[in-house]
Amino acid sequence: MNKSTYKSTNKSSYTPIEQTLEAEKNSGDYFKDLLRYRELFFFMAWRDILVRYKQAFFGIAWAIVRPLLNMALFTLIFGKIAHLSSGSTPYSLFVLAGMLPWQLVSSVAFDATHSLINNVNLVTKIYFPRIILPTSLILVNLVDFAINLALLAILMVYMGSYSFLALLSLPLVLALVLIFCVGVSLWLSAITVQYRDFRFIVQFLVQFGVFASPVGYGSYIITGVWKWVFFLNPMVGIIDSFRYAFFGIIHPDILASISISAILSILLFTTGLRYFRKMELIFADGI
Amino acid sequence: MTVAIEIQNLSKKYQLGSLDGISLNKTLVETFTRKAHLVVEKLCFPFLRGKKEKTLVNEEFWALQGVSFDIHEGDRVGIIGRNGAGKSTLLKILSQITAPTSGRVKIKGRLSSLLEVGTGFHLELTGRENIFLNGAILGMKRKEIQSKFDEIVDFAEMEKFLDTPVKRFSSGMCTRLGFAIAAHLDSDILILDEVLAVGDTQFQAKCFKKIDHLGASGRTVLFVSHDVNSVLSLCNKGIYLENGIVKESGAIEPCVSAYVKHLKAQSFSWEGVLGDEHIRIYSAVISGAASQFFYQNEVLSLSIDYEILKPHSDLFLSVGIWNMRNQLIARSHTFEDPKHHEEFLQVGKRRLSFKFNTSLFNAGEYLIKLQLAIHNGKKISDEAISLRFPVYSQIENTRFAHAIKTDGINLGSNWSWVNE
Repeated sequence: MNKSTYKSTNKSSYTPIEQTLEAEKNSGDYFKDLLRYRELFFFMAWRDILVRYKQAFFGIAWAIVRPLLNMALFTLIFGKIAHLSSGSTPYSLFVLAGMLPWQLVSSVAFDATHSLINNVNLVTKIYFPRIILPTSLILVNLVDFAINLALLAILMVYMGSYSFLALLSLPLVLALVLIFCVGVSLWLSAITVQYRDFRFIVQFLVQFGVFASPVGYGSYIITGVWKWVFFLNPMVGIIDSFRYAFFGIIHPDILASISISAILSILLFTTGLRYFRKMELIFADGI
Repeated sequence: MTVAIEIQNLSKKYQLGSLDGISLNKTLVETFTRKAHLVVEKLCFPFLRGKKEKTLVNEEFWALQGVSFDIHEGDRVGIIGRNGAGKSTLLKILSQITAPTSGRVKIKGRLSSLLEVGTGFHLELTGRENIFLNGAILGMKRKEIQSKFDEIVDFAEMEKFLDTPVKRFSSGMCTRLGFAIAAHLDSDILILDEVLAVGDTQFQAKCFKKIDHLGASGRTVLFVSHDVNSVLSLCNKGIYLENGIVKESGAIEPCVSAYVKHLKAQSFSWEGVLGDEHIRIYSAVISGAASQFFYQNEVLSLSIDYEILKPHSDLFLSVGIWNMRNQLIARSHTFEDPKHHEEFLQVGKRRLSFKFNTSLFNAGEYLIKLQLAIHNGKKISDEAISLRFPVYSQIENTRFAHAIKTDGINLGSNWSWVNE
């Protein structure tokens, strides 16, 4: 490159940046930087998607086979053996609708615990808004989510079981699960830098949570005072909202369960953002 | 000339074991037990509490202390200093990877840094995919990368490998690609940390030329290297750091000579006690240099104070010269001449000296390592005693100064001509 080409780019597309770095303070241009690095957000997601499907022998087929197998298993256990009710909706679809957000959240949680640690070389050698790491992994998991969603849509049409009016609430439902995912991802990615054992805690929570959340059963089977303890799990409201959006399934306390999980999600999101920004300052030194 | 980077009273403290009172890399169990411990202690010995806590946070380490200087636009600044002098910490603060503990940095212009070549390369992805990924990580836009793509590929000399996964690349290829991407960034300030240490000589020369070009086109370059020669040839300004403090800054030459002086003080001599029941070594000293380094054609003399306690017929001492890449390039043993061998094994405290001419070597830095061993038996000391000496070329101040890049044995200059 010679002098002239540099100067010309300088004139056309370049605006001088001035910044001040000071002690223990996030750079004031954080959100400006975020805008500047928005492409990196997609590049990181693109990298992980590419790598994920390059390495797997069956590639994208896994994304379809896994939820179908899980669906079959849960239908067998909860529907056929335990004889739980799913109302007028086929039990298999009922399970699939619950598994959709569950798989998204659990894989986001799992990936989040590894996101900063697996990218140690980036975090300690290059500056970029670190928030890109825990957020881009959500995009990666949304690919699997979209595949599952398409699968559910096909099955819904095939089995003729859907509620057209309730489907209008789907964007809101998706927004709820996304806010929850971002909150979970921010918290877990940052806290694992401090406490590595969160990797094992999350593994346990995912194994345990699939039964503590109404994935294989309807949340209405929990009654009495325990119901309110049960509702404190944000996944209850999220799964309820998914089942409502697809099949119009409601129960007397659905408004309460969804509101609780919306409040908890927003709380998790805002505190997660603050915690991540605070921890971000010392990631490179502490990781 | 405008100031590109203004650094005021910059300090960085690392707390060993804990950071800002937040302990990192700890397990929850450890944290809980420590907290529980403190609570128990508080209950049992309410008056001792303050004392205990202090010892916990006391391990602090200042990587940088009150560093202040200005870097002007278009400067090529060489940052020199020994390992742990704070060079990397300084670069990390400038590249916003870590925040300073106190002080302030003002940066004017877009800054990009290459602290390690190939950071962010993903081994499973191809060369082409990695160019885009790495460009994005370094802050380039997709369009920018597309427009520079051919230039980058051309510079890295890797058209043939564009669709090969990076895991099949040699380390040299990774270096070339990594540097090529960073060098084509449209940034105003470029930070390079020891990145050229691994490339081959030809590519290094190409990089130096590129850095020269960048400087000429008004770009500011910050460059860290252990290699005094490359700093001298690349940079017009220098900063010499020692233990986190700026010892010298300004023009590059005084910085380099201050650094070299310090190197000499650090490694021209060794003192201590080393050995076993057969032999003990008390000191090893390099002498013979007129200044802080050797020019070629000076005589270096190595003096060793030692004592033979119990002679062993297979005991020997050897002097090895190693280059900075840790390769043995020359060696001499006390047993090579039977007379020397006998002399060496005489009981008692003695001083031995070993002389050689530095014109044996090309310009560069070398290590002298003493080896003490019993032949076919045990090694008494292998690399414990290691002294360092730089050899400067006599053509140091000519334009050929950096044509000789291979530190190693000098073949001499016995050229001759006959007219046909």
